[in-house]
Amino acid sequence: MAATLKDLEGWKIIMRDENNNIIDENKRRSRRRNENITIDITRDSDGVSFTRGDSIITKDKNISADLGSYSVYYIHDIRLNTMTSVVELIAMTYLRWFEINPFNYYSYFEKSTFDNTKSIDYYKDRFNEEVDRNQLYLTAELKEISLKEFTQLANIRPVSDWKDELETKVINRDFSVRFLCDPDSTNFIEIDFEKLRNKMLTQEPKAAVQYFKKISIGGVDAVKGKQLATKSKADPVKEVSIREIKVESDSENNLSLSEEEEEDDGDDNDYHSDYEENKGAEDVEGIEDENTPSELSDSENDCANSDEKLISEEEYGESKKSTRTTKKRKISEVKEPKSSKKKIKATTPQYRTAKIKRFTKKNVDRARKKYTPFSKRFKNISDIPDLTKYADFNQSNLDLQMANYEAKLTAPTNSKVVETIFSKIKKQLYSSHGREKLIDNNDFDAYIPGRGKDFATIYLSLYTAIEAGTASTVYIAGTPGVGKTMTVREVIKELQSSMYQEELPEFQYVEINGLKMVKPTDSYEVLWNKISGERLTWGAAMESLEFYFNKVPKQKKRAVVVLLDELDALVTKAQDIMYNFFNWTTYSEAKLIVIAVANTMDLPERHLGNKVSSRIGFTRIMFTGYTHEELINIINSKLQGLNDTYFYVDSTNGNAVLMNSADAENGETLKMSSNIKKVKLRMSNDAIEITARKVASVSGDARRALKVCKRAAEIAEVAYMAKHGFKYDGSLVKADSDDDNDDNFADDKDVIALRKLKGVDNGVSNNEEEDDSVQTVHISHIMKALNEIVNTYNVEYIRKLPFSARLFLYAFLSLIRKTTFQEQEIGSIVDEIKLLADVNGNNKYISAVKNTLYQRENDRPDNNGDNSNSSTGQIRILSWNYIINNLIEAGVMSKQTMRHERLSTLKLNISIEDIKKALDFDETLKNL
Amino acid sequence: MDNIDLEFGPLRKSTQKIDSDKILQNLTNDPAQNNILKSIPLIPIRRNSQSNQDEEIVKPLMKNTSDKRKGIEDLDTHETLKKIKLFNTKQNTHETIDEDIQFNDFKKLLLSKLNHKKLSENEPFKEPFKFLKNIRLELDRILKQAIIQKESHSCIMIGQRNSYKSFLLNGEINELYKNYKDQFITIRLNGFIHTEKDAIKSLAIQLEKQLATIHNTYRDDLSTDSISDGSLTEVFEKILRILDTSTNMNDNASMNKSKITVLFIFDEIDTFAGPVRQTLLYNLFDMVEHSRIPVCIIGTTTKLNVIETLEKRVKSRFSQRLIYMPQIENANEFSDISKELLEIKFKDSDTRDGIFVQNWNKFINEQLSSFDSPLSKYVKENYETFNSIVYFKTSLIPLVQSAKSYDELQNSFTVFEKLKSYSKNQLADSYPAKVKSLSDLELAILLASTRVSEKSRDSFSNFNLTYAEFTEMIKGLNAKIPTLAPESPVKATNDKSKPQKVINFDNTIKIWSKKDVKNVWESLITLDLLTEKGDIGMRETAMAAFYASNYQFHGTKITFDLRQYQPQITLQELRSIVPKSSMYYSWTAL
Repeated sequence: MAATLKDLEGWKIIMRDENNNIIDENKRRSRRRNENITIDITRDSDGVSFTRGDSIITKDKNISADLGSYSVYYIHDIRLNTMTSVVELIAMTYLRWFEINPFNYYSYFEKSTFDNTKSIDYYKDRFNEEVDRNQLYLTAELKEISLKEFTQLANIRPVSDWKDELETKVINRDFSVRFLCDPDSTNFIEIDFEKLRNKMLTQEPKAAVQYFKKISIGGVDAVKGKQLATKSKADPVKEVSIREIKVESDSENNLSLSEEEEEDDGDDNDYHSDYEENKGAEDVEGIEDENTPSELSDSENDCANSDEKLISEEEYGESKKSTRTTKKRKISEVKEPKSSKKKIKATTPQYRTAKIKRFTKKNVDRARKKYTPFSKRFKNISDIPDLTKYADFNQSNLDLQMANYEAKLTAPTNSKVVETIFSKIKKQLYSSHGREKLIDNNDFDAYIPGRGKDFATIYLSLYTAIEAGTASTVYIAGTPGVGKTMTVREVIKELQSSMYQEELPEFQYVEINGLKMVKPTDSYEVLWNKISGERLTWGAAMESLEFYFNKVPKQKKRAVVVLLDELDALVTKAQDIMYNFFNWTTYSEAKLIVIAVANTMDLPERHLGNKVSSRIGFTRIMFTGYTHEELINIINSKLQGLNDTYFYVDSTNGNAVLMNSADAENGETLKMSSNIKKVKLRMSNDAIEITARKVASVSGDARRALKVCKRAAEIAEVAYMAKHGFKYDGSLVKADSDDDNDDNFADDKDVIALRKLKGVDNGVSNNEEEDDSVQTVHISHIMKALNEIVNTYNVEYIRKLPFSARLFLYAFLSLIRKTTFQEQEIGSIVDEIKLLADVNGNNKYISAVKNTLYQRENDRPDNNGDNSNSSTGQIRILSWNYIINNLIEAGVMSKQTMRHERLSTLKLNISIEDIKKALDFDETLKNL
Repeated sequence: MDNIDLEFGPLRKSTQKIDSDKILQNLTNDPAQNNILKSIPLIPIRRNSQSNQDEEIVKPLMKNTSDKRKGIEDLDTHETLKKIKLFNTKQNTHETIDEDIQFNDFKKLLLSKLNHKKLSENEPFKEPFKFLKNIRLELDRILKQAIIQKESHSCIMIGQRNSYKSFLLNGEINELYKNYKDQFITIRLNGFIHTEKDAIKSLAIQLEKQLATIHNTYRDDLSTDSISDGSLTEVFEKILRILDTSTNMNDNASMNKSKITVLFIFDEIDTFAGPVRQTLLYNLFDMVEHSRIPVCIIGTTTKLNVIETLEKRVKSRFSQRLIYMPQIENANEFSDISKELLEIKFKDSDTRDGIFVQNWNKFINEQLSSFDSPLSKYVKENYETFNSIVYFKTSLIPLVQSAKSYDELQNSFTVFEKLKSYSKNQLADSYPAKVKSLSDLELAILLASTRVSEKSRDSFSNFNLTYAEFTEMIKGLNAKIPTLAPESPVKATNDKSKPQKVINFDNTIKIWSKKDVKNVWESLITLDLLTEKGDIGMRETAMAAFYASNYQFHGTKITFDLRQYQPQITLQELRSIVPKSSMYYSWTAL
C-alpha cells in the first residue's frame, strides 16, 4: 500500500489491457472503464515486477532473523486511486512452516497414528525435523501490504519440481504450495496451486476471494467444487418452484424502485460483502449458491442461473423492469450481447466505504425486504418449498466471519506462556471446561453427577417428541448453578449423536438466552435467523414464525428444539413472547420442542396467568441444589486426571508441564535435567469435602463450589510462588525479605479449630508442606477462600471511619433507639450530635473535641459553658458533607433527595447490629 | 467602635483582611511603575575573581533559564553552594540566586512527590504508600495471570473515593503495557458515562479500534463488516459471537496460539448492577467462564454491598473476588503515611540529593514526631475528621506552591497561618458564613421568617406571614428604642408623645415597604437559606431529574406571597451565629 505519490517513488505502475498493450496515463481517462486492465508494479531500481496472482516476499520484523525475517504473500488484488491511497496491495497470507501448529498438522496428516495424549513438545520436535521448510500454506486471511516492505518475488514452483532432485532450488525464494488452511493453521485442504491461481485470475477479485473462501471452508478441491456447483444446479424442479416465488416477491417489492436502480447502477456496485444479508454471495457468482436459501429473497441468482459469468447490476435492474412473463426470455437475451460490458463493469473496482453504502437505493430495497415476512411470499401453501435444508444456511458465512475475528484476536506476537502447577487446575475448575474428557464415561451419574434422573426425564421426553415429530414442552426451574443449562446441553449432545447415526430424524437445536440479547423481542429474530438464515425485523420474524409453525406442512420442515434460557428475562409487558413460544407448540403442524429454563417454578403462573399456563401442560422439572456428596463428585470429576499428579517444574521460571500418567507410574526420571524438579499436586480430600459441605448448606450452587476451590488453589499458588520466588511473567526473583503475603495460615484461628475438629494432624500437613515435591491445597486455603466470600466488610469499614463519621453513626443509632423510627431527619441528627457534645461536660478533652469539630476558636475560654458568643463557630461538624457523602456512596445509608437539608431523611442500609459492633471498638464513644 | 456598629450594623463583607503582600504585588501591575522598573538596566552579576571561570559564564545565564538546568549544572550548583559557604559574607547576591534555583528544583520535586508523579521515567511503578502494597501486588498478580498466563479473571475493587483504586490499576496496566503491548487490549467503561446500551456500543467501538491498532491496520474495509456496525441487537450479537465462543469449543488446537487478553475496566460497576436487567454483567461474567479468549474484568466501586445488588444468576457467575481498599487504621499510621508523603527519598544512587532535601526530611521528621507541632496537630485533626490522605495532600499543595524560599516554606509549615486561612476558605459556603454576609435587612427578614416557621405548626413560613412578623418585630424594637433628639437629652421624654415632629432625627429602624422586602426575600431564596416546601434537591439519579422536571405541581401555581418556604437554619442555630452585639440578637429567642 502506498498512501501518497511519494511513497510510490522508485516504483512504476504499468497498466495493460487485454491484449497486453500498455495503457498510457492520459489515454486511460478517455477510455474509462472499457478495458479489462491488469496492473503491474515495477521497481525502478532492478526492474522486478509483479502483478495479481504473483507471490511476493516482504520484510517482517516480527519474525526472528534466523527464520529470515520475512513473510510471503499472494497478491490478490491491486487497486489504484482508492479513497485513501494511490496504490493498494491486497494480499492473502501464506503461513510459513513455523507458523503451523505441529499439533494440528499431525492431527490432520496422520490421523491414524495421531495420539493426542502425547505432549505438544513431542510433536513440535518431530515437526521441526520432518517438515518441508519451503512449503507454504495459503490462507484466506487478507492483508494490506506496504510497498516499502517488499523485498523480492517469491517463486512458487509446482510440486513436480520439488520431487525432481535435479532442479536447483533457492532457499527462501523458491517455495511450494500444496495446502490451504485456516489462519489458525487448522483445516488443511489439499489444492493444486496452479489451477487455483488460474481460476482465481479469471475472476474479478471479489469473486475470487469468495470462491477461495468457499473452497477453504467447504473443504472441496478447486476442481471438484466447480463440478459440485454445476451438479446442484441441475435440479430443475426445485429451481422452478423457487423462481416463481421470487418473481412474485420481486414484482411486489422492486417495481417502484426499478428506475432508480438503473440510474444508480455502476456506482452502486456493492463490493462490500454484507454477511447478514448474504449479499456478498449474490453479487458475485452463482456457483455454489444455488442450494442456499438466500435465493428466496433475491432474484439475481435466478438470472445468473448456470452461467459462470458475473451478473452486473445493470442487468439486475433491467430484468426487474421486465414483466413476469417475459422475464426468462429477457435474461437469456441480455446475456449474450452485453457480456463484454458486464465484464468491464465487474472488473473496474469501485470501492465505496460502508458509509456511502448505507444510503444507496439498493439498501432501501433490501431494507424493505427485511420487513416482508416469510408468509407473504407464498400464495399457496403448496408453493412452499422443502425447508429441511434451511438449517445449513449461512453457516459458512458465519464461520468465515468467526475465523476472521478469531484471527484478529490472535496476538501479533507469540508470547511464551508460563504455566504454574496450579494453572491447569484453575482452568479445569471453570464450570464449562473439561466436559470433553468425561464424555467416554457411560454412567450417567458419573457423567453429570447428581443429575442422572433429570437427564433421563428430559432425554426421554425430547427423544419421543423428535421421533414422533410432535411438539412438546419441558419446563426446568432451579436456583443458579445447579446445572440446568448444562444438563440440557448434555441431552442435546446425546440426541445429536443419535441423529448423526441416523437413529433419529434430523432436528435443529437453537439456544436463546434471554439475557444474551438486548431486548426480549430479539428472540424472534434469532429463532427465525437460525431456522431460515434470513434476518428480518422482529415483527416480520414473528409473523414468519407463526406461519412456519402453523401453516408449513410437517414434512417440509425439520424439528426444532429451542432452549429458552433465563426465561424471566423474556417477559414483556404484553407477555407476547412467552405466550407465542408456548402457543406454537400447540399447533398440530409445529415440530417445535421448547425447553424453558428459569429460576423460579411458578414463573409462568406469576407472569402469564392462566392463558399461558394452560398451554404449558408439560413436564416440569425442579432442579434442587446439589447435596454435598454430589458436589464432591462434581469437584472430583473436574479434577480428574489432575489431582495427585506430577508436574515437571522448571526451577528457573516456575514453568510446569503435566507429567504423563505412564511416566509417573514408571517413576521415570531420565529426562530430568538439573533444574527440572518433579512436583506433585494434590487437593486434599478434606478440603474438597469442607467446600462441598459449606456450599451445600448455603445454596448448593456448583459454580460457587468450584469457585471456592479455584480461589483456594489461587491462594495456595500465591504462597507457592512467593516461596520459590517465581514471578508470573516467568522470571525468578530471590524471595524478598519483606513478607508480602501472609502465608502463615496457621495463625488462622478458624483453621486450627477446624483441623482439630476434623482430626487432621497439624504435624503431618506441615511436614508435607516442608516437602517441596508435594504441593497441597489444604483446608486452610479453602477456609480462607470461603471466608472471603462469606464475610462482609461492613464492620471493618465502619471501624476504620474517622471519628466524626463514627460520631455521626452513633448519634444516628441513639436517635433510632430513642424514637424507634428507622428513618431519621438530618436535622435531628445534627441536633443530637450537638447535644452529645454539650451534654458530656466541659472537661478539657471534650471541649477540645468540640472546638475541632465545630471549628471554634479556642483562645477565648468560656466560663458559662456556652460557646455561642464565639462568632466563628460552625453549626455542622467539620467534615459533615464529606462523611455523609462517603457513607451514602459506600451504601451504608441512603438519603432522600430534598432541597431542604434538615428535613431530608436518612435510612440505614446495613444492619444496626453491624454498626453497633463496629462502634463498640471505639472507647471514646462507649463513654458517651 | 460599638457606636459605629450600632449605627451602621456590622459592615457587610468586611471579613477579608488586607494583605500587605498583595498591595505590593498589585503595584507591580501598575504600568507606569513597570516602565520605570524596566528602564533600570540589569547589571550582570559580577563575581569575585576567586571563583571558577566557567561559573562566571553560567551564572548570569541561569538567572532566567531556570528551566534549562540539567544534571551537570546541578552538580555545579552544588559545588558553588559549598564555595559560597566559604565566601558567605562577600557573595550575598550570588547566594540568593543560587538558592532560588535550588529551591525551585526542590519545590518541583516536592510537588511531584505530592502529586505521586514518577521521579524518573524508567522507574518501575510503585504504590505511593506502603499500606497499599498488598493491593498492588494482588492487582499485579491478577493482571499478569490474565495477560501473560492467559487466564480469565474477574474481581471488583471496593473503596471510598480517593482511595487510589484507579491509580493503582492504571499504574499496573501502564507497567504491563511497556512489555506486553500486543498481548492485551483494554476496554474502559464508566457507569457514570455509559448506560447499558451505550456501554455495548462503546465496547464494540473500543474493541474494534484497539484491535486495529494492535494489528496496525488503520483502515478496515477488507473485512467490510465491522463490529460496531448495525443495530444494537446486531452489535451485541457480534460481540458475543466474538468473545463468547463457548458454543463451538471444538478443538483444543486453537488454544495454543496465544490470544489477545481482553481487559475490561468498569468504573462505578454498581451502576451496571441496577435493578432492571443486568445483561452486560451477566454476559461478561459468563465470558470469564466460557470464553476461549482470556477475559479479565476489573470493576471499581464505592459501594460496600455491591455484591448484594447483583442478580442471583449474575452473582453466581461472578468470581466473588472482592478487593477492599485499605483504610487507615489509627492515628499513628496516618502520621506515618503523611511522613511518607512529605519525605523525599531517593535511592542511594540518585544524585539529586540537594541540601534542601536533607533539611526538609529532617524538618518533617521533627515536626511529625513532636506532639505539639502544628503539623502533627493538623495531621491528627484530619485523621479524626476526614481520615483522608488526599484531603491532607491537597491542602498542603498551595502551601508548597506559594512558597518563595525554603525558609518561607518551612515557616508556613511551622506557623500554619496559610493553612488556617485555607481551611477557613473551605468553609466559606457554610451557613454561618452565609449568615454573616447578610445585610441588616436580610438578616431581619431571615430571622422573621425563621420565627414564623418555628411558631407555625408544620414549620413553614410564607412571604406575607414573614412580612407581618417583620413589621411587628420592628415596631416592637422601635418602641423600645428611645428616639433621641440631637440637641438635648431632655427632649427625649417628649419624643414619644409627638414623634412626627422629630422624625428627622429619629433613630427608629425603617419599616421597609413590602415591595422592597420582596427583593430581599428572593435573595434569601437564592442564597439557599430558604427553600420551597417539598423542593427536590440534587438530581442524583435519572429518576430524580425526571421528577424535578415535572415538578410544577403546586409550588408554581400558588401566588408568590403565599408560597410555603422553610428556613434551612433553626432559630437556635441562628442564635449561635448572630453576634450578641447585633440588635437583632434578641429576635433569636421566641
